[in-house]
Amino acid sequence: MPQLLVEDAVKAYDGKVAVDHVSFEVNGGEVFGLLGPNGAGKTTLIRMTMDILRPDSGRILLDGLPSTSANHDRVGYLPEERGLYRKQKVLDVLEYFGRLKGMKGGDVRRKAQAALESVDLGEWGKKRVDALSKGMQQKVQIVGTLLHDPDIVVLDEPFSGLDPINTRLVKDMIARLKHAGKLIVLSTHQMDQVEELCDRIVMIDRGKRVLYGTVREIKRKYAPELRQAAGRGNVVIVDGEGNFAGLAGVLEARPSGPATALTLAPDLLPERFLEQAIGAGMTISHFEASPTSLEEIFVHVATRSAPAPAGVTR
Amino acid sequence: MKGKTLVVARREFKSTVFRWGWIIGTFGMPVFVGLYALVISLIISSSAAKNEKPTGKAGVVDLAGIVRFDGGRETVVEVPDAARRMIDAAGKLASGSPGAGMIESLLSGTEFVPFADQEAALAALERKEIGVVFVVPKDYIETGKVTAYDQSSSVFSEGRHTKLPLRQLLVKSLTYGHLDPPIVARVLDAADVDVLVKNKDGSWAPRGLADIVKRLVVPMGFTVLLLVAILVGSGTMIQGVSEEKENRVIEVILSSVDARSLLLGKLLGLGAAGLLQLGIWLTMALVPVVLLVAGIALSPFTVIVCLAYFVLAFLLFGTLITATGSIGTNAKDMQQYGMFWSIACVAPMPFLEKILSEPNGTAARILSYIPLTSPVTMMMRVGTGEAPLWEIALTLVLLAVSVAVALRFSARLFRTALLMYGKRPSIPEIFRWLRQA
Repeated sequence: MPQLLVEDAVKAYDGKVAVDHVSFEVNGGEVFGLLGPNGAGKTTLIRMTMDILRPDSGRILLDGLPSTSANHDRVGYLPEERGLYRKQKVLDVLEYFGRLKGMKGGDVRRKAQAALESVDLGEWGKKRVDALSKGMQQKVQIVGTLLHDPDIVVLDEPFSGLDPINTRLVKDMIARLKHAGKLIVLSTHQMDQVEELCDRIVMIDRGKRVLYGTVREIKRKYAPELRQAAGRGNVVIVDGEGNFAGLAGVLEARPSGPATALTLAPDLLPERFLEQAIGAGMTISHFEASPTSLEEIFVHVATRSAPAPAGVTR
Repeated sequence: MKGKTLVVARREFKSTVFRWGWIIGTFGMPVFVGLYALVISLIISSSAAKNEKPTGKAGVVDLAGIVRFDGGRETVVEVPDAARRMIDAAGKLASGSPGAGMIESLLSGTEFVPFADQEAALAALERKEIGVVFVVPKDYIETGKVTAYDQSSSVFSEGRHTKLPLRQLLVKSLTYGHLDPPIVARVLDAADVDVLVKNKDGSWAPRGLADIVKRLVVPMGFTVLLLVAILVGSGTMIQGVSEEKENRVIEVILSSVDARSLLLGKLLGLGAAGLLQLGIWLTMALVPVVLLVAGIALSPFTVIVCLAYFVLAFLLFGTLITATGSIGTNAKDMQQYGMFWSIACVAPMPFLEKILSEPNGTAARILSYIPLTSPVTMMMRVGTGEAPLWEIALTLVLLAVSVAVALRFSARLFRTALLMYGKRPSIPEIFRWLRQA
């Protein structure tokens, strides 16, 4: 199983630190989220792991060895800035990308054609890239990233420009790669995708690591601080008969689909609220203790400079 | 060589030679040259239609009474044998044209025919018995003025090219009886200089103009080719790189291949396309015809050595131009940044005379050991036949080392610069890239 280790990596441009002593580790069979607001240093970090840029200090190891051009063939990289040769035929571009990744022999083209068929673009191989829609080009780019069957896959915003059907297609592809034991680094701003796909995450802000761990761990440990910072307690979603907003400890009520989202006082736990409602004779058809979303944590962390709460690794 | 360098080279080669611009340039150039020659010959023919074949005769109306006619022909052009062969070959090619007639007339001389008066002379001119009428007025001795009645204003007209024979006739006439004929001959041609050049073995041997021309055709040809290759090749290269930078493909490429292999692969692919173009032109007989007409035999040693300098120079300048160009944010910027090096390539040209007259002099030697000026200087020195073998070997090795060093540093610049989108780096920033990257 492949392993990627980033250890105390530092990179500065023109005296401005883009990546500031960042460390993390990713293993095969894992989808690892690399998060951070725009300009946080994610792309620099990715470029360093790709050996496109070298860190000023620190180490980046692939399976215990320094990341060098010798590892290029083991890595598939889908950059945020997409790029294809627009005036060339799709198959020619894919063949070139494949050969640059060390694919040899006469079947590179055949494999490229098969890969195109797997994303419903089998008939487009002999067309010029600029004849394809943006979404199609995005799929061609993903095919080019995975054509040489890399051990390590780095996907920077893989869902941008895709419709829901193709988003699903890519998600399934990521699931298959994970199942096959590949190491996947996923960088995206779409927090719902991160929650759905990632096993662990690291969040970078202003070049520094601000969050690191499993999604569940981060949410569990981060939620109280977030609620405290917002001066409120838990949020519960309730549907039924009765004046829920009038109960003691309910700070705010707002519609949430057919139900109502209630913000509770910081000292009122969801289970106490439920007991109170039933005790008041209200009918409850749906009750859900709404957890803190990763997006809330992201926004909170990205907009503050307070130290992380105890227990969350930085 | 790394496999990926070859993958890049193959792609660059294919994408270049299948480009319409390249195809039109390659196959269209000989056609264009042919058409150009055709148009020129048509213009000359139409001019020829106005001009009759030269008569080789000029009428003289001597009102001053000083001209002495001896019935002979005045020939002024002393042509070395080698040059005469070239002129003959050119004359055959241009057979029937007024240019050929003029050359023939120049070589065989002009017969001056006396006329009693201007009317008779002009009537003979009208009948095309003579090609021009010169009237020597009464006050010729005081003024030196002579009037010519020419058939046309064409550059090939007899009036134009019989001026020197007339001058010769007048000098002979004016000095007749005052000076001995040998002295007159010296007045007309005061110094026929034979240049002797010191050989490697210390002996002195004559060297004519034709010999120098013969020796320098190959180096000159390669210098011109080098300039064209650098300008066209680097232009194509920068266009490709700017496209990769602008459409962001470069990030995918650089995650697959290191910058040095990428740069080298691109240069080799484009260089191969350039050589193929040259090969096609050669087989289309463009160059052989030119050389044949010039009557010049090529020295295989000079050709091989010049080819080596050409290839290394292309790689050196291509590397530098592309790396410097990559700093630019768009194709136009990139072209401008890269242009500096093209100027460096032709820097030895102002020293050409110095290099040719003293091929082993200090200036020539200094320019030979500066990598940027070495290729053109050394090609010229090799052409003179004076450059020692050890210097040829040493400068070739130096050039090869320079290519390796340039590739190393250019790759650093290239890699970092290509990832900077829409931002022009500062000079200190560029130096930091060169150090770190």
